[in-house]
Amino acid sequence: MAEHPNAGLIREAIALFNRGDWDAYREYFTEDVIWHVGGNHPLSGDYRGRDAIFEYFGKVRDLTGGGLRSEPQDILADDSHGGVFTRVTADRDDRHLDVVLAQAYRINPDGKFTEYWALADDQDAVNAFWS
Amino acid sequence: MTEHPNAVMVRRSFEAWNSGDLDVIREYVTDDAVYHFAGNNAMSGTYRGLEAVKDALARVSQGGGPHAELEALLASDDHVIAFFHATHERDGNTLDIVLAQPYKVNAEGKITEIWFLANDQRAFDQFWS
Repeated sequence: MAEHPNAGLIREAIALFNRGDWDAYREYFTEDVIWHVGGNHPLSGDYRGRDAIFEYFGKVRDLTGGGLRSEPQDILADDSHGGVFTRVTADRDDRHLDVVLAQAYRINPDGKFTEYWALADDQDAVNAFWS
Repeated sequence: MTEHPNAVMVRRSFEAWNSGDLDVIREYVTDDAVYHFAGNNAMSGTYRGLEAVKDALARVSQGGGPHAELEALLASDDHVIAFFHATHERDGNTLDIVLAQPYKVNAEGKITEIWFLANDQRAFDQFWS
């Protein structure tokens, strides 16, 4: 079965994130996108608007030396939604992160992300990594 | 297109939830299932094992749980993601939010892991606090 266009969209966006191609990555978001970062750590919370979200991505990049990687294991999509189960690895000083994130996206008819949720299988490990 | 069997399974579990039938959960969930409840409220945390998951759901549904209206179901052989509206009233407080609920599903079509993510975590936390 051919991949749904929105699955392809998410796959491209994750590849841009991994490459650190922020200008191209920005094009995948609406101006008023909402980003829900789960957990209980300094980066957790709701980010409203593309600028706020890219500030958050900037913090993630700075704290991990740009080395955070997302490897999708499964991408699901329909015409207005997407979901990804992705292995996320990163290093920060002597801390190592290796978890699976469950991510959910709402996608508008123009193929842009309007809302996003993420939570890890081992949220304690994520909380410890960012704290 | 025929709906994926894992989507059918999750759709049935929503119908059971809305009918208030909690016992039926063991048909959908493995004995060692893990349930991640996001946020910072009385329900938040990770629940491990069928009994712990059942206890958590029983707390949510005490006195009649939230009504869950499916918005979308995405399914593959290993995973499902449900998007749904949850509405509820309790002690004069109203809950009306959208949740994304990713699942891991095993080869027998049973749920091994669930994450529970609200779009308005603050409203959700206040409601359950």
